[in-house]
Amino acid sequence: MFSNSFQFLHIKEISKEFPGVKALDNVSMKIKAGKVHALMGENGAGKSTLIKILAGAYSKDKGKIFFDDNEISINSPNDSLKLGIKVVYQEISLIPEFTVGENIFLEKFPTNRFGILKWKKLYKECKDLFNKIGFNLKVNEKISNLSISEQQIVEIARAIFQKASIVVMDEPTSSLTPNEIKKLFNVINNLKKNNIAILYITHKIDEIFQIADEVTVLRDGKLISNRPINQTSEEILVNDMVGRAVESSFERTLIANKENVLTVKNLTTKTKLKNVSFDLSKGEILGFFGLMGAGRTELAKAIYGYDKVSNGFIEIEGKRFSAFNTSTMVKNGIGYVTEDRKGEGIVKDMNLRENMTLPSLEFFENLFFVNRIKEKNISNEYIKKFDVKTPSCERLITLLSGGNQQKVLLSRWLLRELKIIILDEPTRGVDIGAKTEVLSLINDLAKEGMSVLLMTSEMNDLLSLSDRIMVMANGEIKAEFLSNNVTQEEIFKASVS
Amino acid sequence: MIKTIKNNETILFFIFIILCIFLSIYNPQFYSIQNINSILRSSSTVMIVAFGMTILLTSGEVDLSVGALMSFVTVIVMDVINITGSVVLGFIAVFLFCLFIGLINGFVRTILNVNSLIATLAMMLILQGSVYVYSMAAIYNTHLIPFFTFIGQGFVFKIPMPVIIMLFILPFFVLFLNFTRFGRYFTAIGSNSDAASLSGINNKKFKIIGFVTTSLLVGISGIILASLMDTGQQGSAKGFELIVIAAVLLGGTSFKGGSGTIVGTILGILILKVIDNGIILMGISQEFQLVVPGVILIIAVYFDNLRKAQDV
Amino acid sequence: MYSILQYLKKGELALFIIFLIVFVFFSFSSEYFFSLRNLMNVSGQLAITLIAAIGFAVLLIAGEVDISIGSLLAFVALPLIQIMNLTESVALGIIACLIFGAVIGLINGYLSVYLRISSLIVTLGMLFILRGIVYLYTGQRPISDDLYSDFFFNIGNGKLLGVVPYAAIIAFLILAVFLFVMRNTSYGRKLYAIGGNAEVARLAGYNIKLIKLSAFVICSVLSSISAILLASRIGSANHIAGDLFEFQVVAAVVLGGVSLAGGIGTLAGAALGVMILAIVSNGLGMLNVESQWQMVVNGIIIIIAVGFDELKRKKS
Repeated sequence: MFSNSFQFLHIKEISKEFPGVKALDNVSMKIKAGKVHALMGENGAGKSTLIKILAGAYSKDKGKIFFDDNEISINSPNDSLKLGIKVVYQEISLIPEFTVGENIFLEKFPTNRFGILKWKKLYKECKDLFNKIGFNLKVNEKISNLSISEQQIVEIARAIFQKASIVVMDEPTSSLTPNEIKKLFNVINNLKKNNIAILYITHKIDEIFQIADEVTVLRDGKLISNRPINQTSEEILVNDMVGRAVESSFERTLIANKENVLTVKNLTTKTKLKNVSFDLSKGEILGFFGLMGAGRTELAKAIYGYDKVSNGFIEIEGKRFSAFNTSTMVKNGIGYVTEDRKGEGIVKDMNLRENMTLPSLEFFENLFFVNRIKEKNISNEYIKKFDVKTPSCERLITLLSGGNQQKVLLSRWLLRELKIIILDEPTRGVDIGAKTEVLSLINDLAKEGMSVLLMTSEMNDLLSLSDRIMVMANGEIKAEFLSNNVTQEEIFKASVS
Repeated sequence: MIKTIKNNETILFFIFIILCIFLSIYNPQFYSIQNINSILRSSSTVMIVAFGMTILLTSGEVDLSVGALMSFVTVIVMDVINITGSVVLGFIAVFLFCLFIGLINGFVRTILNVNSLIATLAMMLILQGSVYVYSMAAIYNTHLIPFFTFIGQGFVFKIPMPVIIMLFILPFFVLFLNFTRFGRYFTAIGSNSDAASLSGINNKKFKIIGFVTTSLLVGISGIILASLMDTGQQGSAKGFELIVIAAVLLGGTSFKGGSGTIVGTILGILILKVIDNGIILMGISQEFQLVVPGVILIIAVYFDNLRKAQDV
Repeated sequence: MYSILQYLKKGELALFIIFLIVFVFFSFSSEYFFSLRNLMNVSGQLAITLIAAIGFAVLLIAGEVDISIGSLLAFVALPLIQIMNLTESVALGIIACLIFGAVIGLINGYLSVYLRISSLIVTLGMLFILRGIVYLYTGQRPISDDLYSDFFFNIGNGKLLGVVPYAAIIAFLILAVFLFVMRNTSYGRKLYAIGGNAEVARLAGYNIKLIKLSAFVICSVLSSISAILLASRIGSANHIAGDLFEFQVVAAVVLGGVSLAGGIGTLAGAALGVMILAIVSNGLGMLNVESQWQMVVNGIIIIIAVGFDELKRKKS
C-alpha cells in the first residue's frame, strides 16, 4: 500500500499473554524497508505469536505498532493485508486447483466487459511479475502440481502483486533443497531492490549470514538482542537463543544394565523416516530434540502404529511387531500424548471426564456398562492432582483453556498401566507452575519403571529430565548424547546439521 | 454436548406431548387403542432401522442402501420360507444376506476408503437391480405359516407384535450410546477420528460393526414388513432410507458425527408418525404426510443450529 | 490457447478413454448398438440427466448440494403443463416452469447460505416438501398435456433433419455454454475458488453468499429444463417423475470426477460420467441384458471408479 514511500515498521514494547503463559514480554524491533530482518529463537520463543499479531490473527495486549510515523492497529487479517503486511506460512493460502496465474489475480481477474477472462493478458502480466522477482515458473501450471518451494514463491509473488510493503516468511527453507534455497534468496534480493521489507524467521544460522541485514533474537518471549549482521557471530547468536541457566535437574538414577523394553530397528516410512534405530531401557527417559520438520512426531506416530511403516520393525520386551495399529500398541502397554491437542487430542463433543477415560474405558466397565461414578471419582482425583481449572469434571472439554486441556490429555494415559509412554511436546501451552508438576510426574513415572520417549523442543525439559538425548533432523537420528555430558549448544548444532 | 442434547430431547418430548393432546382434543379417536396401535406399529419398522442409522451417523457414516436392502429382505424371506417351509431357515437366510451386505459396505468404506455416501448409494443401486435378478415377480405368501404372519400382524396382550419386537431391541440401543464403552467409541470416532485412533480405538473395526449392525436391523424390519404385506415385494421399501435419515436428524443426531441420541431418534419418529396420523384424522389430504416432515426437518435443524451457536 | 489445453486435463482423459473402451466394446458385442438410430436415441435420453447433472455439478463445485432435484423435476412440470393447457401457449408454460424452478433455487439458497442451515438438510427437506406438493396437487394422477402442440412434442421427441434429437442439441448447447462459463469467466473461476478454499476466497473479497445463491438458482433452473424435456417425452406432468433421479445424477457426477468436497472437477468430466453410464445402460440393453442387471453394473462401476480415485489420491 505504501510500497514506494514506506520506510520502516516499528514494533514497540509488544506483550501478549495467554492463560498461564507469557508469550511475548515487552518486545521491540524496527523492520526497515529494503532490508532483510531475521527473527530467531527456539520453538516457543514467541516468534509465531509475534507473526500472528502482525497478521491480524491475534491481538496484542500491550504495545504499539507504527508504520513509518503512523500508529496503526491490526484487528483482523483484512487490516493486516490492507496495510501491506503479507505473511507466507508453511501451509499455503492458495487455491490448489487453480493455476499460478489464477492465484496471482485472485482478487481481480482481468476480464472484458462481459466478465470473460483475458487469459493472454493474465498470463503475460504474470510472467512479467515473475521476471521482476527473478524466478522462472510455468505460469499456467496448477498449484497442486508445484513443489513446496515453488508454491512459496507464488505466495511471495502474490504479495508483491498486492503491493505488499512487508513480507514475513516463516521458516521458508525448512523443506527446500539447497538449489531451491538459492533461488529463494535470489527472489528475496529482488524484493529488496523494490524497497520491500522482509521479516525472515528461521533457526538456520548459516542462512542468516547469507541473507540477513539485521538479527533479532527472542527467548522465552523476551527480546534478547537486536543487532546488525556485521556485529554478531554464530557463537553470539547461539548463546542468545539458548543461553539460559538450566534449572536443577531431576534426580535420575543411573540406568546400568537395565533390561531393554523397546527396540526400534531401521524404522522407515514413505514420507519422512529413514532407518531409525535405537533401544530404550526400563525406567529410562529418552529425549528427542529436533527442529520443526525433523521427524520426531513422525517417529512417535510410527512407533505407536498410527502411521504405516514401510520398512523395519519394533520389539516390545522381545515381542516383534512389523505391522500394527494403535489398538495393538495400547494393548501392549504403549501410550501416546499428541502435540496437536486440538486436531488429534481432544474429542470436542465430549466432556472432561469422557476425554480423560477414553483410552482406558475397559477398566471402568461393570458388566456391560461404564461405571460413571468411578469415572467421576478418578477424574476428580486427577483434576485435583494436576490443578486443572474447571468447575467440574462434566465440563465440555472445549471450554477449558489450552493448558488445562493438555493436563487432561496427559492424565488420560496415567489411568492405564503403561510400559512405555510417548510424549510429544507435553508441556506446550502449559503454564510454568504446572510445567514443574508435569515434569516431576514424568520423573516419578520413570522411577516406578515406566519408560518414556520424550519429544520436545524445550531445552530445559530435555536436559533436566532425559537420561539420553537423541537429536533428529530430516527423518534421521543425527546424534546421541548423554544428558549429563552435553551442552545446549552442541545439541542445537547437531539439530541443524 | 450432553446438556444440549438433553435440552433437545426435552423440547422434542414436549412437542410430542402437545401434539398428542391437541389431536386427542380434536378427535377422540386419536387415543383409541386401534389408533395408538396403528401409530406404534408403523413406527416400529422405522425405529428398528433408525437405531442402527443413529449409531452409524454418530460415528460419521451413513447408509443409503437400507431401503433397497429392506425390499430385498422381504423377497428373500418369503421365497425361502415358501420353498423350505421353515421359518427358521428363512431367518437364517436373511441373517446371512444382511451380514454379507453390511460387511461389504464396511469394507468398501474402510479398505477401499470410499466415502460412505457414495459407497452405500452404489450399494443401493446394486441391490435395487439385483432384487429383480433374483425374482422378477413379487413373491406371495404360499406357505401360510401362522407364526410368520403373527410377526407382523399378531398381537401380544393387545400390543402389535412389531412393537413388541421393537421394544425388545430398544433398551439395548437407548443404553448403548451413552452408557457403554462401545457407544463412547462410536461417538469419539465420529467427533474426532484421529483422536479416537490415538486413544487406541480401532476405527475400522467399529465402522464395520456399525454397518453390519444397521444391515442386520434392516433384516429384522424387512421380515416384519414381509409379514405385514404377506408378500415379498421388490420395491416395497423404496425411499425408506430418506425417512429414516430425516427422522434421525430431526431427533438431534448430527450428520457430521460425534453427537448422537437414540432417545431423540425415538421422539423424532414418534413426532413424525403422530403428525402423519393427525393429518389423516383431521381429514387433511394424505399427501401432506410428505410435505410436513420436510418442513419440520428444516425448521428443527435451524433452531438447533441457533441454540448450538448460543451455547458455545 | 491455454484454455483448450486445459480441457484435456489428466482426469478427463482417463474418463474419455473409459468411454471409448465401453463404446468400442458394445459396438463389437452388439449388432444393434453401433447404429445411427440407436446412438441418436441414447443421446436424446441422456439429455435429461445431462442438463440436470450440469446444474448439480456447478453447485457441487461451489461447495453445496441439492438433492431435491428429483422432486423438482416433478414439481416444475405442474406449472408447465397447467399453464400450457390454460393459456394454450407453450412459451408461457415454459416461462412459468423456469420461474418456479428459479424460486425454489432461491429458497434453497437462502436457507442454506443466509440462514446457514446445511444445504444437505435443506434440500433433503425440500425433497419431501416438493414431492408432497406434487402428490397433493395431482391427487397422484398424472396431468396430461391437452394442448398437443407440435412444438412442445418436438422439444423432447423431435429430431433435426429427422436424425439428431433436439433434446440432445439443447443439452450439448447448454453444456458448451457452461463449460465456457466455468472455464473462462470470472464468475466461473470464483465458484471454483469458493468451493476450493472458502477462507482464501473470503479474504480475496468475494461475495460468497451471493455467488453461492446464484449457483443454487442455476442448479434448479437447469433441472427445470430437464423437467421440460421429460414432460415433453412422457406427455404429462407425472407425480412419480424424477423418483430417485438425484441419486442417478450424483452417481454420474461423482464418477465424472467432481468432488463432493467442492472446488474440484469439471463439467466435461460430469458430462463424460453421464455419457458413460448412459452408454453402459443402453449397451447392456442392446445385449438383451435385463434392466435390473444394468443397475447392478452401474453400482459396481461407481464403486470401482471412486475406489480407484481414492487409491490414486493416496499415492500422490
